[in-house]
Amino acid sequence: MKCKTARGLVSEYVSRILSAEQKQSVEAHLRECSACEKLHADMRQAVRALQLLPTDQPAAGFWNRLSARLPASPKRRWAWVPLQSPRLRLQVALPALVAAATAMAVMFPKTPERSVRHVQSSKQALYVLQCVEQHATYGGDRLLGQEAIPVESGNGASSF
Amino acid sequence: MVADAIRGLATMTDVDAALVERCQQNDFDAFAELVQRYQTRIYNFVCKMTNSPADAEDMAQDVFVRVYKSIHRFRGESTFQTWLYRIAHNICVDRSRRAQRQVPVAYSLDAPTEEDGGEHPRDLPDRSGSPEQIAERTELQQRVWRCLGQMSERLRVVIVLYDIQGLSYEEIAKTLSCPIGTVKSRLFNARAELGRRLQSYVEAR
Repeated sequence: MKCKTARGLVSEYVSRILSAEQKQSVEAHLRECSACEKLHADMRQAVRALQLLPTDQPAAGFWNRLSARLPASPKRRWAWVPLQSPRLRLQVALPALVAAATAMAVMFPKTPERSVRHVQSSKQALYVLQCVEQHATYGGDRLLGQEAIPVESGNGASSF
Repeated sequence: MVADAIRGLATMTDVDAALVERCQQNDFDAFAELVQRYQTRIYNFVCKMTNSPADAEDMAQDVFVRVYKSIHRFRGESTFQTWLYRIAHNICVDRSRRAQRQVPVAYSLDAPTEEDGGEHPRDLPDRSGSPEQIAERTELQQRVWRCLGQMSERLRVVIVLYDIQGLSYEEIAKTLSCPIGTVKSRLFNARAELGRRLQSYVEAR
């Protein structure tokens, strides 16, 4: 094995993740090459020294201090978090729009009765306009013509 | 090695995935459980990256606050652990940029740290051996801390994630968004640099 190959494997050798064959090759090279053996010794010492470092623990009450920093009423806030995404917002808004349109259609159906009422309202409005016109041309104490007053028909629709 | 043991445990992604799913259904207890599972590792990671136990708690909390705010956007394209470390790393980089012009401070391992007005003794688990051995070990630990602090951030993050946090090459590559080959070469350089610095310390004694 050449030094270049050995140097490429020495870190894995220290990590003990080489195959048995690679391990034997590296060990054979390290026995012969003092420069690579020096590199190996340095790396091994570095890894061992890192293992000596203590595992720092957060002080007791970490969760209490953390939860105090979280936004108030997290569940309520979280319930609205999906709406921050445009795609999800569309996924929520579209069904809501369809539901609202359906509700409107159920509550205010376009029925024939409604059309008759609409016609009736138009005729009444026309009558009011005629009254206003007559009032504008009123020449004395003459009463309004009876023919202008709408008469209720039997089916509920008015006629002039 | 401890890191190897952690590397085995790091595959416990099913539990994380279930907890994340519960979090996304607004289960606050699941979030508390996620914090419980990772608080020590994230705190430890931040501590090693910043060399500043005084700031580590705030920064670790920043990590979890960011997770809390954005967990609904987590799509599971990587493991939760990878995502978490990516956030932690970003927060460390942000802090490092902000503090670039400040003089780095070296901390003594056994010096008490101030936590919320009180003193919090640093955890030094292995106190076995003679007083001379303990003193020697403590001195070496301080040296390692100092060497880590002097290392570039690009090398330090890889050596901390691999040799201390126990992540695999693949997980580190995903965390840092770089190829596995880059992770390997950075780990090689980081170990070689740390080894050289420690060797000069040993020879100087």
